[in-house]
Amino acid sequence: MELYNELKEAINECMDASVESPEFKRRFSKLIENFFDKPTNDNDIKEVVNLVQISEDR
Amino acid sequence: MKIRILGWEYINIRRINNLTVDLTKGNSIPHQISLIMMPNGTGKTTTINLMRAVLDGSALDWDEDKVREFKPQYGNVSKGEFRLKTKINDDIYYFILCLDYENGKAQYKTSRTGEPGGLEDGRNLPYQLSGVLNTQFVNRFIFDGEQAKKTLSSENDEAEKAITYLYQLNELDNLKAKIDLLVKQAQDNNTRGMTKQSLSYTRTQMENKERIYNELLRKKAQIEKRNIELTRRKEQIQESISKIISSDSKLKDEKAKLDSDKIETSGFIRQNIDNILKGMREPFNVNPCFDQRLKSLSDNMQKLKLPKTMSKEFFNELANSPYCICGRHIGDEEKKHILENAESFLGEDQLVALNAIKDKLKSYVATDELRNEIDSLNQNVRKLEEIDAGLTRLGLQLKEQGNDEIEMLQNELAEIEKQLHDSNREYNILVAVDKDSNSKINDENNIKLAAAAFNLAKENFNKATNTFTLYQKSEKVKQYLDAIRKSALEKLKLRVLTKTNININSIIKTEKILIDKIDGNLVLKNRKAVSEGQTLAIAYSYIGSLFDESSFRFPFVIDSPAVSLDLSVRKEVSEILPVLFEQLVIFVISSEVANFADSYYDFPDVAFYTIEAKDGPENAVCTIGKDYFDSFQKDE
Repeated sequence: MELYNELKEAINECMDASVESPEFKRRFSKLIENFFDKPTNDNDIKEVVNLVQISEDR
Repeated sequence: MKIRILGWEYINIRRINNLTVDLTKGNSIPHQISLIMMPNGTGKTTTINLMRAVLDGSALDWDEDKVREFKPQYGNVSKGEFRLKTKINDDIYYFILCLDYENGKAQYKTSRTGEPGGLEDGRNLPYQLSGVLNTQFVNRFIFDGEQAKKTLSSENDEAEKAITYLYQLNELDNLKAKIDLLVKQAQDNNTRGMTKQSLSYTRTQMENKERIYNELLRKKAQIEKRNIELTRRKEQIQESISKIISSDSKLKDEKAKLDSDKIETSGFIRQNIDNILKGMREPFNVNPCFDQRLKSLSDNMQKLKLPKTMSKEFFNELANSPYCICGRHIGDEEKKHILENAESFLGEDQLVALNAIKDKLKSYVATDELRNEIDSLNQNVRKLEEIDAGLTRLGLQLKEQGNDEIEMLQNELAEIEKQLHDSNREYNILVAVDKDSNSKINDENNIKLAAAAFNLAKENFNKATNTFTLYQKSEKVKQYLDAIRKSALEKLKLRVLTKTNININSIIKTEKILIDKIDGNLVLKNRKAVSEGQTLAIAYSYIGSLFDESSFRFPFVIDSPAVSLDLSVRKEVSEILPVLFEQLVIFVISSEVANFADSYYDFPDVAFYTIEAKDGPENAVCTIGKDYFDSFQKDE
């Protein structure tokens, strides 16, 4: 299912402002698109979560 | 995704023992407009409620009495059914609500034509529809006058929720919930090395802190709601007291003078506040201590003599010169060294900014303007208090003269003011940002501290279960989802608002009515209320705009849309409805034919249905055709 423009723009703006890797940005956007369309595999979600960058000092 | 209603069937539902209503043109395509005439008492509201229940799945929560409400009065009937025939994209779905009158139970069945297996238990929707078809959203397209009022009522957030559900922003919440579940599973699987007791302790700590935090959030929402109600009542009472005083010939002149002084003084206070806010942008006027420190900073900056040319750019140029200013040759080694150290010096742009600050600090002059403005504000606030006391005194005079009504109102007002005072005290503790602003706060009565305590307990639990990194990452993903949800909602609200105003303009031509914003509900621009007919017109415009450009194309089912409309507005509404909606199922009674239903007599794609109880109360028949529909109206 094609996402509507407002959601696409919101995802792009959020990802542009983030410091995440291109791989995370691509897969996170795809995850949302898939989630709107069909049941999503838990492993897909886990893989995307694991791609998040976190600072060492926390 | 296109959703169409193709018809429905009643089996043993109240006064209808067996009846099929087919809205199609015979090829699984419904007419754009289906007008259903059902006189009062035939089951119009029942039909609409059953449609809602079939689509939103709410019948599973019905109690025995509610189920038995649909039982026919005739014979000994133990079961009933309402079957809704729909078309979702190109597939035909029958959603069946089975009512077991004997046991007082409702259950759903689904039948998809062309699918093996025939009738399935449950209400089995296509995946994309499962997040959309809930009670709140179904009420948006199976519509009645009450829903229209809710769209404009400030007491709920129906309008915003409709956008959330239609555009499935709630799916982002579902994704967050799924992430939480995965983290919890990981926590449950990573308890090695921990005793059962210590795991249980850290988990209980976390759950307790979470409970306190959520309770405080609930409490805040409750207080906000209560304060709105109390303030509204307070204003009503003040208005009533004001009217009573104005009606007294002796006091009315004095009251008029006090009212006029109050307006003038309130204006002065607003002006004082504006000037103070502007004045505070110059900190040297706020407090002598700031003035002293800024002067000291200015002196230091003059003494330091900021370099005008010894900047990063100077060293970058120097590195590329053959000789240094001291005469030494600059080779590759020296060049590398200079370039590395150039970064330690300020750039030209930073120097420009610092010099601007230095000049500004050197030239400013502190004045007493801000202090004078604060004094003036205090005087005006005192004056306003005196005016209010004067108004109260007028009320007391009437009370002493034996006016019971004013006594009652003033007692109620005093009680409300007390409640508001207590409520505000509690609220201030809840929302205080730190102990400096309220020393009584702790992590059990303040939201910010409770959130911090909850986060700490979560961290402890995650550290204990070796899932801290996973937890941190999942929180970050959830923050992204929140930001996306918020941003998408704002963008959608703006689009729907623009389109709604265009639609309103084309329906209501006699007055300029505009929606200012969607803030939970629709907020009117420069007015507080509209007529009942206008409320309907606004609600239709809003729903039409909502569906426009959505990936879901729903039918629009309306119960008696024209009953409350003036004859002059009816025609305009009847013209706009087919423009806004691709499929309309309109339930009417005979009084809605004039100027509304009859507007569709020459419409190219319309069908007319008249459902009536004919031979006794239990047998209903459905007659299709304009002539019968029209003559039925005349008989009535």
